[in-house]
Amino acid sequence: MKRIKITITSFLVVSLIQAQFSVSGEINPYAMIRTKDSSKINLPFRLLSLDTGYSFESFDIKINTAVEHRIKTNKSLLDLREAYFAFYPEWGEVKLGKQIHSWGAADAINPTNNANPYDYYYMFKVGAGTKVGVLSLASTYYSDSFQIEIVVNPYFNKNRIPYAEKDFPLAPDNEPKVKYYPNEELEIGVRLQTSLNIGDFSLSFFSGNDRMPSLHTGIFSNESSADISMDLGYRRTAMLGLDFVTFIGDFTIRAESALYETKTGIIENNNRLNNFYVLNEDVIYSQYVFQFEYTTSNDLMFSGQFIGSRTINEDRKWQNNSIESSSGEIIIPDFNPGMGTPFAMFSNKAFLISSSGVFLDDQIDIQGSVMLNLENSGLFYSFGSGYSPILNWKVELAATQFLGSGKPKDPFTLMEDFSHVRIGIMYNF
Amino acid sequence: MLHKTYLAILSILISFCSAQLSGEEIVIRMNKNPNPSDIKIKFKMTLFSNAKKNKNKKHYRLMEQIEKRYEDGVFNSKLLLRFMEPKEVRGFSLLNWSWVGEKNDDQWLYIPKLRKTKRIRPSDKSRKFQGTEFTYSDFIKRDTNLDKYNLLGSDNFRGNKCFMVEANPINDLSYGVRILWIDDTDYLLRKIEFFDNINEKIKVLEIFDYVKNNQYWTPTKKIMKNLLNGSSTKMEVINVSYDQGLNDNLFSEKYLKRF
Repeated sequence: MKRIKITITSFLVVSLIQAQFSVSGEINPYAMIRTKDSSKINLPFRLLSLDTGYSFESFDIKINTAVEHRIKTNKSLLDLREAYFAFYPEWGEVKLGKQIHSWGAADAINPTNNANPYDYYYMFKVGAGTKVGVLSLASTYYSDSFQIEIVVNPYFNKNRIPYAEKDFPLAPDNEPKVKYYPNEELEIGVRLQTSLNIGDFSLSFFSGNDRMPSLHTGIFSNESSADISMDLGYRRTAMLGLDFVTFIGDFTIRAESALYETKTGIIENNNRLNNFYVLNEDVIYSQYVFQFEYTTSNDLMFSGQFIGSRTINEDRKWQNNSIESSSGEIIIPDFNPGMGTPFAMFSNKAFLISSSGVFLDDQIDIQGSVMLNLENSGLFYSFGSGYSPILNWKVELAATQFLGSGKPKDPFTLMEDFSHVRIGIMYNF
Repeated sequence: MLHKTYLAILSILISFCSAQLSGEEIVIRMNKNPNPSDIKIKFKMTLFSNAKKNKNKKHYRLMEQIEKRYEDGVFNSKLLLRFMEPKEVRGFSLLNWSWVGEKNDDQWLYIPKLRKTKRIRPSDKSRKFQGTEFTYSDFIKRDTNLDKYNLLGSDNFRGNKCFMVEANPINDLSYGVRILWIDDTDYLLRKIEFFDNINEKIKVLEIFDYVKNNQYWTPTKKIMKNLLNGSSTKMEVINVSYDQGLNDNLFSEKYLKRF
């Protein structure tokens, strides 16, 4: 027993001596001021991001946390964004724990990246910042010519939506009560990537549950088909994705496309009501991004993204389980995708032009982008700049402006109130 | 007396032989200097912009570079560069696979904020490296066969007598002509002048110090000057180690993401 204790203690001491600890992060307080009336926008933001790591030979432990702060109420919340254990054998890597996965070749908008839900509070950020970490087991096998990644999420995970946030115009008034949670929680994703001389190509598959709730059942008045009550649930959705990056002349082409099939799960009429209807949906829809980018000799980057989504085939009907008949009288609401990129809620066809550059030895960075709604006449444009007079410190100034089509339900029109100027400081450590 | 005569003859013979060397032979001799099978360097890059001639040392990059060179097989070398500072770009990394022959290099960038590895266009090598006056290609050893060499003459650089060799890319539009200053004693590269496609001199690299560790020469201080905008970047080696037996796995997407 004593020998075992000595062995374990020796191992721990050696591990600690040889291990590498790392701590990094950023402090980023900022304020968002509405352009319309100079009032403050009351939404939470990540005041502090702290990434800690412990590495020992082929093992890593990573813990990434954030302190989310709301200026108006001066309240902070600790968010454990990721906490996972990673093992790096000769053939690849294995990660277990709460983590964020990144799939897809395009920048910022990735229809194939569905292993994690979105955090809609940060939908205008890029990369891992827009996602919510989930408990999962992920493993990647690397060979000379290809790599294959498998992700398994044992539990159901949903998007984080800014419910009842008056300062976010697209936010629902209150959090809906969801009655039907997935019967099958397990989610599985596989991504195969190969590198050729002309570029990288990937094929991906993900089978999981919708991240956004949708209408599932309704109890209707027999006389008028007016609804008495409606209940929401999460559909089962499978995604088949393809993405690639290739080079044509001086241009880099990145493209990503995902085909989704979503189905309502089996719902029993436990109430034995004759006026209980299930909205049975079997819909195939797609989302795609075609991106081209060009970098000038003085390091200015220009990119254009054509973003689209469309419903390919839909079979949607209200069905009354007790008498096994369907009703054509009850209005079927518009289809809402429950998985995929959040930008689909803005438009089914949009064009995003972006540009960025750094000046004065990287002391100043400037980015600008314009998103044009090709379906209606809406657009948004944003401009951002950062000035770093001292190493690791940066002053940030950004502006975002939405211009809608004038139609009241157009997301660009609704977002006009969200047009704002953002002023902040960032310190990296 | 006889001894002195031999020395004189030997000296004449050496200078005669040197004079007979072609540009290509000089470059081959330079490349024949012993090279480690792998190298790990930590270095600092300090940026001086034309507007800031006060040599503000606060704008610097701290980086780690590991490189593995291959004697045979399909690769010339594999290289991984990783940013340590500034903290905002900590973990930002570049992986380069240089293939034997004319096949373009493969390059990937890891961007920690995106948590994503991006394949980048090989000709992007001629682009500036993260705001410095160095380009991505300055970190990668160029295959001798890709250029045609022409001896222009000789010149002195900081007390070293140097051959001036013109290197003309044979079939690579992303490179312009370069003039190399190679010293005539140790065959070390001392200076490079870079020209664009219309033969305008655009950059000058000056290598000030070399250190010899065991049999390997390492440039420890070099400055790249941009003649078009007046800016320059100083690169100083902080520490270096050789022949560590670096595993091939380190030059993979897996390791690119692990920091």
